[in-house]
Amino acid sequence: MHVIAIFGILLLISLRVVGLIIAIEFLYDLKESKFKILIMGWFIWIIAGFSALYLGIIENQLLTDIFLLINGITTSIALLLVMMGLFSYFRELPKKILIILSIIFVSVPLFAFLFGFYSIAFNFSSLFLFLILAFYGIIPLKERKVFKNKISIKSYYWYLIVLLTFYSMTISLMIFIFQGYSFGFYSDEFSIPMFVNYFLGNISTIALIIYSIHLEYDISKNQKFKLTDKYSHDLGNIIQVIYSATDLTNINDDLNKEKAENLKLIQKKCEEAAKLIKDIKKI
Amino acid sequence: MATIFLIDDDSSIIKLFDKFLTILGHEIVAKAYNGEEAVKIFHEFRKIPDLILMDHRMPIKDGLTAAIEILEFNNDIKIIICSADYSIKDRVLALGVLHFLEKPFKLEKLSQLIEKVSMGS
Repeated sequence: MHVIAIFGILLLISLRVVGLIIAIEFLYDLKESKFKILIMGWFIWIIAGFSALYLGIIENQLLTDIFLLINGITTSIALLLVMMGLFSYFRELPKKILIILSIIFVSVPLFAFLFGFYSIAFNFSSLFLFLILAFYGIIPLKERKVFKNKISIKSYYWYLIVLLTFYSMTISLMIFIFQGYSFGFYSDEFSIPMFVNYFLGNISTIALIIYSIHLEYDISKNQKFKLTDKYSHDLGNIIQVIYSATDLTNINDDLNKEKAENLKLIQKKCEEAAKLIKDIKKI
Repeated sequence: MATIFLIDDDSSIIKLFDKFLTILGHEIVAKAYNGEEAVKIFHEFRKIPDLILMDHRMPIKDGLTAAIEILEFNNDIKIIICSADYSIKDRVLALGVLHFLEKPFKLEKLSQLIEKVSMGS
C-alpha cells in the first residue's frame, strides 16, 4: 500500500473519530434523536476506514475482494446516515426511506458479489455514494429559503463548502473508477488522482465536522431563545396579575398607612421585575 | 363608556381586568380563554363591542391568528393586544390592530389607553 494511502486513511479515521465524539457529545447535551443517526453514520465510517487500511495488509485475493466490498458498502451506508442526520436539521427525516435505502445499499452490492459480479458490486457502492451526494446537494440548494430559515447563515456557507469539497471528491472518484486506479491499495506507485482523492477526502471530512458544529450551535441557540421567550412571557403574566391585584386593592380599599406602604413596596418590586424581564428578552 | 370583549388564557388576568374595567364604568360583554373561542364568540355577537382586549400566547389559537380572523370578519373593530411577547408588536400593528400593550403594565396605563381609544371613536 502506498504511504500516502496509509497516512490518508489514518487521518480520515482520526477525523471520523472526532466526528463521532462530537455527535455523542451533542446527543448528551441536546437530547436530539437526529444525533443517534449521526453517531451510527460516523461509527460505520470508522469501520469503513479500517477495512480500507486492512486492504493494504492482506495478500489473499478473495479476502481483498471481500474487504473491498465491505469498504464500499460501509462507506455508502455511513455517508447515507451522516447526510440524513445533517439533513434532518431542516426537514423531517423520512425513516422508511432511510431503511429502504440502507437495505438497497447493502443487498445490491452483496448479491452482485455473491453471484461473482465483483466490479458491478464495487461500482454499485460508488454509484450510491454519488447518488447520496447529488440528492443531498440539490435539495437544500433548491429550497434555499427553507434551509436558510432553519439554520444560520454561517451554517449555510459551511454547507456550501461541504458540498464543494464532496463534489470535487466525487469527480476525483469518477476518474479513479474510469481510469482503473486502486486508491493506492495495491500499488506503491504514486499517482496524482490518489493524492487528490485522499486530500479532498480529509478536507471534506473537516468541513463536515465544522458544519455539524455550526448546526449544533444553531440548535442550542434556538433552544435558549425558546426558553428565554417562554420564561419571560410566563413571568410577565405572573407579574401582571400581582400588578393588577395591587392596583385594584389600592382603588377598592381604604388602606391604613402601613398597608399602603406594603402595597407600594410590592408595586416597586413588580416594576423592578418588569425591567428584569425586558433585560432577559435582550439575551 | 366602552363595551369590551376580554380574551386571555389566564383566568386571573381576566378576573382582575373585569373588576377594574367595571369599576371604571365599562361593560364587559364577553370573555374568552383562547383564540378559537374568541373568534367563535365574535361571530355570534349581535352588537359588536367597542373594543377587544386580547392576549397573544394562548392555547388552540394564538392572538395574532385570532386577530386576523376577527379583522377579516369586521375590519372596523378596535383591538388592543396585551402581551409579554414584544417581538410580535410590529406584526400585529401591521395587521390593523390598534395598539400593542406590553405586559406587565400598570392598570392606570390600560385605563388611559381605553380612554384614548374611546375618545377617538
